[in-house]
Amino acid sequence: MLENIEEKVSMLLSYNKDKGTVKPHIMKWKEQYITIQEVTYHHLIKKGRELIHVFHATDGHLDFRLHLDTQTLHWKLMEVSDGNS
Amino acid sequence: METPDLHNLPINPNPPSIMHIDLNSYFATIEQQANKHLRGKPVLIAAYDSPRGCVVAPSKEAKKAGIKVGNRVLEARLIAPNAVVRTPDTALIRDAHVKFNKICRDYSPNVVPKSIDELVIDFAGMDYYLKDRSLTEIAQEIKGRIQKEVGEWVTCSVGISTNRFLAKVAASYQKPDGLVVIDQTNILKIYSTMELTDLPYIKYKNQARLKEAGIFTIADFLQADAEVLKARVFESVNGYAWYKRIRGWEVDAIEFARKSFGQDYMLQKVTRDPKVLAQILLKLCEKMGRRLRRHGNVAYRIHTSCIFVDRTWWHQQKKFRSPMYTTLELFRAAQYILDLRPDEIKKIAKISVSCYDLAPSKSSQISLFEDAENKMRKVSDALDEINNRYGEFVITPAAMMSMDKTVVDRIAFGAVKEIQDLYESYS
Repeated sequence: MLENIEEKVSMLLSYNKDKGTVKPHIMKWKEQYITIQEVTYHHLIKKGRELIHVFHATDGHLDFRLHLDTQTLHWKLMEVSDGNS
Repeated sequence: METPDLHNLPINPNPPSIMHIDLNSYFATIEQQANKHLRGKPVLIAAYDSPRGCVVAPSKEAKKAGIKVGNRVLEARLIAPNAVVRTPDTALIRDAHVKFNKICRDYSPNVVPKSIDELVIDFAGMDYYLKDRSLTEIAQEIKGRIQKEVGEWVTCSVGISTNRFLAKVAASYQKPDGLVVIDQTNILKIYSTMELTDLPYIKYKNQARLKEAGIFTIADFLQADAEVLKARVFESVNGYAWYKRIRGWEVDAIEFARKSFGQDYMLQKVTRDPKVLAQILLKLCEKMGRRLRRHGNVAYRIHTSCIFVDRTWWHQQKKFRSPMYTTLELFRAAQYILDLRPDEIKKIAKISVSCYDLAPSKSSQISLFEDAENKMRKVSDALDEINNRYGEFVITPAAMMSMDKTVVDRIAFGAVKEIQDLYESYS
């Protein structure tokens, strides 16, 4: 099932200066710590001058769509899915 | 390379130089790439996820189960009860296309998008880029890079041949994840395994025309005289083009200039309510107008059409003396035409609007009401600038209030000119 969440989350992430990549590692959502296993797709969304990094990621059980707003540096969990209808 | 005489034209003996790349089940595959738990499951990308929503792209697992493009979600669920339905993630789809295009551009500057999931690379005269490698080696490398740079779940079928048509035939010949070369050595063998309707652009109408002339197989098609194809089958010079096309000679390397801008919308709920229809039409005109103005054009002609709930179709177009530039000008013209439809009580299922007879906006004819019009144009440009800066539909006409979710963002499958706009927005 796909669920729209749109909630701010806390995020522990790493930045690799050589590859120029940012990778989310641990997300805190609803007082739970979720370890991100893999970022399956990363892309940008432009809304006028607003720039959002979209991370599609999984913890091995669920799929997440995460937004990083480059203006506010807030992370938002947008969607959670278990891959079923 | 010279094309020989049109009579008794041989199969093109030149080495293949055209590569057609087709991303397999694109919308669904990219959704599976982004959402790992969808992989290996029948996934349906539908215009709407409601039971009557139309499936626009089934995944390869869904295709294997028998689900086809055009099935209703309800029908598809009867075929595969475990099918997962999603609506298109337009930002994701566009981004993956841009990555796909970027990879292909590393191999030749002559890369032409044919649709959101297909690109053609022309390697003619590109020895510098080939670096003594065969096109098959390059195709394998591109396939690998797509999986590495776009996503491991994303596969493509590659066709290589002497012209765009045969390269497309080759790409469709082996799906998914195929790599087929068609040249003079194997073309007849490949044709012998195909039906006429397996050829691109030969569907019911063209098949009927061919059958009428006694052409039932691709072998018959190859044997037909160029004059017969011109005079009896296609009744135009298009017959000559087909004569050359199926023999591997290039006739499709033409880029058409933009002649129109258009938008259409399939209503989630059919209606005849004039207020709702006007709101939808206004939003379509706003989207169309934004693109018209971004390209620095005005339009003199508007075409409005609708498909009614009983599947009948109505359309009308009109040329106007004054150029149209602002959303309001386009909307007034489109609404005027829509109001001409004869049967106002019929509910509408789909509404389309397009503007054409384009001219550069700076040189358009000055009207008697120049001052007022110029002011409106300046206001329109200022509104576009605000929307560019803060996002689409930040400022809209009052009539469009409360319709955020109406006329949602969609991707037109074969709209090549829109893809060019996409590259500009990413550059």
